[in-house]
Amino acid sequence: MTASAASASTAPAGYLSAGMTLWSWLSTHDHKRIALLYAISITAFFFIGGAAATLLRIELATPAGDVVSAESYNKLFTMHGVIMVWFFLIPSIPATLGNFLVPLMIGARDLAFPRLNLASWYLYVAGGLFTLAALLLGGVDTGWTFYTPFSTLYSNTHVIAVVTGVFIAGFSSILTGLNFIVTIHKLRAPGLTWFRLPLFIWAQYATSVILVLATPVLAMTLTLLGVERLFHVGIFDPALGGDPLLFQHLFWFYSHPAVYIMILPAMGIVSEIIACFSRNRVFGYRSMAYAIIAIAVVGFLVWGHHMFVSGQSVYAGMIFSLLSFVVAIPSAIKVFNWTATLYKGTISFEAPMLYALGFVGLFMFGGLSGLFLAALALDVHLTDTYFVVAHFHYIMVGGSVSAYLGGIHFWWPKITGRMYPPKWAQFAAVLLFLGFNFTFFPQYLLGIEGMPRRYHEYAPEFQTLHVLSSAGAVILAIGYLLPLVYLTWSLARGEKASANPWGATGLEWTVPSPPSVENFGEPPIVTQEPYAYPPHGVSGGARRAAST
Amino acid sequence: MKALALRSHVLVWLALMALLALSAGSSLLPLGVFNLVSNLAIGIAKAALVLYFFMRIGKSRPIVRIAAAAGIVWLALLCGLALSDVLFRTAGS
Amino acid sequence: MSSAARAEAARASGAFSDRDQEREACDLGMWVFLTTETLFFGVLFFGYLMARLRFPEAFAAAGRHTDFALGTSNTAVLLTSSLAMALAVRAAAIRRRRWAVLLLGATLTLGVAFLVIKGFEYRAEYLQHLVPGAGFHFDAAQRDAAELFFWLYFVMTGIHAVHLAIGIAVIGVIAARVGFRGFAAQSPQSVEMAGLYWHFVDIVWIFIYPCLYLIARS
Repeated sequence: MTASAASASTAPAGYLSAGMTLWSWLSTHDHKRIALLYAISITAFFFIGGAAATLLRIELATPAGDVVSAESYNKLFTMHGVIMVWFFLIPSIPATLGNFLVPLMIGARDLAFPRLNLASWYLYVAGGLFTLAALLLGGVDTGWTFYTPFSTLYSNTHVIAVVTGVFIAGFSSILTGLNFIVTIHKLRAPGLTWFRLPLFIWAQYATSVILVLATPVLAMTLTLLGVERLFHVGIFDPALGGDPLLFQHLFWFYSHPAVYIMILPAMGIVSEIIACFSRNRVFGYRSMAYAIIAIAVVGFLVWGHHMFVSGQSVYAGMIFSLLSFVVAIPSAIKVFNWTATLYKGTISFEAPMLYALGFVGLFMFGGLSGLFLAALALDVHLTDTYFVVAHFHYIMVGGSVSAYLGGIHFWWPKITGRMYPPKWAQFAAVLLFLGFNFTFFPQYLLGIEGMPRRYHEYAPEFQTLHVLSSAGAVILAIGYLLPLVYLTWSLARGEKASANPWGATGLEWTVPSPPSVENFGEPPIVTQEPYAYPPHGVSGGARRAAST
Repeated sequence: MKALALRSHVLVWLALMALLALSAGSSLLPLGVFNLVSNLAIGIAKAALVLYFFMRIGKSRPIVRIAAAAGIVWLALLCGLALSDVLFRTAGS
Repeated sequence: MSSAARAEAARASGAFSDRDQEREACDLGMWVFLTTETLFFGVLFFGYLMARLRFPEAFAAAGRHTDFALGTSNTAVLLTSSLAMALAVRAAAIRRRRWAVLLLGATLTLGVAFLVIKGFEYRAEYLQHLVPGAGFHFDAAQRDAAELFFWLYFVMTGIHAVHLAIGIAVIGVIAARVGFRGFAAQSPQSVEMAGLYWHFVDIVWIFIYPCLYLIARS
C-alpha cells in the first residue's frame, strides 16, 4: 500500500527509550508499551502453566499413581487448564500482538481509549495474581470447567478464590475487546476502507466481538457459581430442584466461543506471514474476511457439543452436532485459501514461515479430529478420553501457540528493533513441530483405545503411548525454551533491524523499527489493496490480478 | 443531534407511567396466560420508549444500533438453543 | 472563527484527530459496554426463565410474597429518574449549567429513593423469613422452589442495585464537576454517556419488575 508518511526532520526516539524508569512503564498509555507489559506477564503464566503440565506428564509416564496423589493430580490439571486458558491463550495474541499492531496497521496514533488499555492490563495482573495465589495455596480440583454440583457443593478447595480471579481477568478481556472494536471502527487512516484492511485486523475485530459478547456471560455464570457455593441455594443443585446442566449451558456458551478467541487471531497472523513469505496476495481475500466473521458468529451456536453425554436432550444434541459441522466450513475455506496463496509463490522458509506452515498442518489435523467429535455417535465413545485432549491441544497448541510464536518472530524486528539469530529460530520451529507431534499424536491413539482424561493412573497397556507422549513433551519444552533464550539474547546482541527487513506490505512496516511513540509523523493515506506484493515475472502478478 | 423538546420528554414520561399503571392494573385481573403476554409486551414497549426517546437510538449511527441489537439477539440465541434442550429432555425416552 | 481557533477547538485528546471523532468513539464505546451488560444481566433472566419453566406453581406462590406496592412505586421512581436524566442531558447539550446540575441532582435523589425503598423491602422480607438460607420459611411442599425464586429475587435486584449505586456515584461526581467547574471541565458529552448508562439500568428494572412482582397477582 502507498503511504505518504512524512518523516520528521529529527528522527523521533523509539518508544522503547521514551522514559527509562519502571514507573514510566507502569503508568504508560502507549499501546506498544502495554503490549510488552502483557507479553512479559503472559510469558510468565505460560511457563507456570507449563510447569503444571510437566508434572502431569511425569506422573503419566508410569501407570501407577506414584508421583502425586489423585487429589494433587486433580489440582495440577485444573491449574494447567485455568492458567493456560484464561491467563495465557485468551490474552496472548490480542493483548500482545493485537495491542502493538492494531493502531500501527490502521495508521492510528494509539487505541481509542489508551487509559482503559492500561486498566485492562492491571485487571489482568490482579486477576492472575489472585488466581495464582489460590492455586498455589491449596489449589482447586474441579477442572478448569468447574462443573456443578461438584464445584458448588462437594469440592473442599478454593473454588471461590479462583473463580474470582478469573472474573477479574474477564473484565480485562471485555475492555480490550471494546477498545479494539471502537478503534477499528473509528481510527482507520484516510482511504483505509474495510476491504483494504489486513486480515490480522479482521481477525482481531471478530475476536473482539466474541470477547464482548461471550465474556459477560462467563462473568455472571461464575458469580452464580460463587453465590451458590456460599449460600447453598440451588439453581444448579438437583437436590433443590436446580439443574446442573444450566451451568454447563452457561459455561460453554462462553467457553466454546472462547476457543475461537484463541484461534482467530492466530489465523490472522498466519495470513500475514504466508502472504509475505510466498510474496503473493492472500488468495480469496474477501472470502477470508467473510470466513472470519462466519467463524465468530457460528461459533456461538455450537456449545452443546461439549454436552452430548450430559443428559441433554437428543434433539438439542442433533442441532448442535449439525451446527458443529457447519462451523468447520469457513475454517476449511481458510485452509484452502492459505494453500492457494502458496501456489506459484516465491516461498522462503524463515522461522515465521515455518511456524505458519506448521500451523496450517496442525490446525487442519486438529480441526478434522473435531469433526469426529462433532458426530454424536462417535462422541459417545470419544468424549472424556484422550482423543479430546489431543484434539484441543492440536488446535490450541499446534495452532494458536505456533501462530503466536510465528507472529512474535515475524514482528520481533518491528517491536524491538533487533533481529534474532535466524538459524536458531528455524531450528526451534522445527523442534517444536516435531516435539509437538511426538507429544500429542499418541494421545489420539490413547483416546481411541479408551484412555480417559483427567486420570492420574491407568491400565498398563496404555503405557507405551504415554511414555512416547511424555518423551515428546521434553522435546516440546526445549522448543519453547529456546526462543526464550535467543530472543532475550537478541535484545542486547541482535543485529539492528531496518524498517522492513522482510519486505512485507502493511502500514506497520513503513515506520522505523522500533516505532516512535506517536507511530506516524502524519497520518498515512491508503490508496492500495492489501498484500500488494510486487509480482515476480508473469506467474505472480497476472495470476493474482483479479483476486480481491 | 438536535435535542428533544421538553414537551416530548414529558409526554414520553406520561406514556411510561400509563404503561406502568396498565401492567400493574392488568396483573390484578385473572387473565391467565394473557397476563404474561401483556406484561412482556408492556415491558418491551416501555424499553422501546426509553431506547428511542431518552437514549436517542433512532438518531444514533447504524453501528450503535447494530451493537444494541447484537446484545438482544445473542441473548435470544442463548435462550433459544438452551430451550431446545430443556423443553425436550424427556421427549422420545 | 479563524482557522487557528477552529483547529484549536477541534483538537481532541489521545489518538483522535478531532472532537467529532472522539465523540463518536465514546458513544460507540458506551453502547458496546451496554451490550456487554445486556449479556451480563441476560444470564439472570435466562436462569429465571429456566427455573420458572420448571416450577410454575411454586414461582406463582412465592411471587405473591414480593411487595407489589413498593415494587410498583419503585418502578415509577426509576422511570421518573430517567426523565430527570434525559432532561439533564438536554440541559447540558444546550449549555444550561444550573438546570443540568439541578436535574442531575434530581436524578440522583430519585436513585437514592429507589435504594431506600429497596432497603425497606429487603428488611421486610428478612422479617418474613424470605431470605434464602437457614432462616427461610415457606410452605413445605414448595419450599425448595420458592427458595430458588427468592434466591433469584435477591441476586437480580441486588446486582441491579449495585449498578444503580455505581450510577449514582458517577452522576454525583459529574454533577459536582459541572457545578463547580462548568462544562469546560466536564463536557456535555460525559453527561450524555452517564445518561445512556442510567437509562440502561432503568431498562433492566423495566424487565425485572414484571418477572418478580407481577406473577399471579390476581
